[in-house]
Amino acid sequence: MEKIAKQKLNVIVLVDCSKSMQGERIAQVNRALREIKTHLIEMQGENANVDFYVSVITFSTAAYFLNGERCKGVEDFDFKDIKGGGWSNLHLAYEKLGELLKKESKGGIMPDFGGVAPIVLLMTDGHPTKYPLTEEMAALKKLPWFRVALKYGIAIELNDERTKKVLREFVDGNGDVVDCYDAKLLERIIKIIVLTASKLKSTATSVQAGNTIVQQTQMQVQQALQVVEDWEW
Amino acid sequence: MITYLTRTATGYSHLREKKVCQDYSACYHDEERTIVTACDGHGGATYVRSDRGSKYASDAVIRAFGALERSAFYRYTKKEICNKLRLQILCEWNARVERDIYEKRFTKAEISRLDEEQVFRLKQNPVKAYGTTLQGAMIFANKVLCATLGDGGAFLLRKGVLYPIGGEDDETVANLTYSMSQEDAYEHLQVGIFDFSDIDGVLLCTDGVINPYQCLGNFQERFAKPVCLKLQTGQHREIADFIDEMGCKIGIGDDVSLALAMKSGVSLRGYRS
Repeated sequence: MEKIAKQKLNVIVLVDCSKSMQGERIAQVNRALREIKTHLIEMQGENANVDFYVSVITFSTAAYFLNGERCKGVEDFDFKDIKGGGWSNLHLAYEKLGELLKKESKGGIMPDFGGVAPIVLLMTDGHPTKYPLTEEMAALKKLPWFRVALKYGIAIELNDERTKKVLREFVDGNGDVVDCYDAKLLERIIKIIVLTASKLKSTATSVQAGNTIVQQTQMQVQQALQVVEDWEW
Repeated sequence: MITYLTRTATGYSHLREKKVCQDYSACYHDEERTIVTACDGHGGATYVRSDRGSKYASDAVIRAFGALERSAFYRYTKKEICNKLRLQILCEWNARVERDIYEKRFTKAEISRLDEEQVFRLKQNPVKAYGTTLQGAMIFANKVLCATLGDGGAFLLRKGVLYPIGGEDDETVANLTYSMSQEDAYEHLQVGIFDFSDIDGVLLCTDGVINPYQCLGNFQERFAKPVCLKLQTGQHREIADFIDEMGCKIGIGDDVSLALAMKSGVSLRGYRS
């Protein structure tokens, strides 16, 4: 069946690559992102009503789009290993995310008409250098594409309640904050979240109500993560 | 002389799920005016009568625009006419919906897919069941009048270029849209009056038509221009067939509606790729 155009499904990943992420943590992230690419290509080929587009924002002392590319079709996404080092300037990553989540005609990557709510994943292992992030968060919340996005936060080996609060504010009820108690499980957790959410959103029909998809996705991700918890802890 | 066309087709997602077509398009034409509409009933679970909602929206536009007299342009300012039409369209739509609710109570079959909370909410606010967007236009007295609420598209055509009607609306993203069933629908319903001598025509569509093209430039080049060209050369059948195919096969699965009205014999230079 020939289609005029598939809808775009943007998967946006914000990776903390500050000094504390060096070693096992960043290695797990790199492995996860590499595998996600392979799985998303498969998923796109099999069923999907959508084409996957990937954006990776890395933040430490500064925030960058990985490879300098804001958004790439998953097949063309050339993944290069992320390295750790520097501070944790999350507010700069929020600014970069804000650049993406605008309509194309306004300089962003989201379609002017229609489109599928993006999946945004934020992972961090420490308190942001600049705190609080009130202004940056308020600016993001003004963007309709941010409000409808399915958002997940991964707290990597974190016991700091203030940082978890940052993640909860980011997710804002439209997704979940997931604790990763052991960096060795990070790769699996990232894959579960991104792939479960992508699968559900890509197979949902365009006429299905947005809220239903979000709830279904949250439920399925929770169920999938439960398996990790049952086996590993 | 005006040439016009409206067409609605059911989307393949609805065909697969055996749902009724929730879009509605219509036209009215007499010696002094041409009215076209394209309305899109919402697809969420609680909008159990949105197919009727979209029909009533279309009827409301035809009724309100049809009652406008030429003398209004001498007696009132453009702003006054627009505000009267906004109010009239909403009153016409609400009157039809309320009559329907009164005459035809919700049946068990209609609410069988809803959970208890949804049924409760629907009983509190039954108008919600009729939620729909609205796009309507009238060519009359050398003017084009347009009414628009919610996602979809409403454009003026001039030399092959599309000019969106109404202010830019950043809020309608993904599946979010304004609705005739909202309490503040009056705030979001926009009516505009434009001089017809400056433009070639008007194109209205529901989101099922425009969303696959994702951006205005793409929609203009790949859909609007070829369709206008076909309308001008009398190929109405080809346009209707394409809309049908878009619904049942090559679109994004949503219902599709197109309404197009143009001056006959406009220069086709801008419409050729």
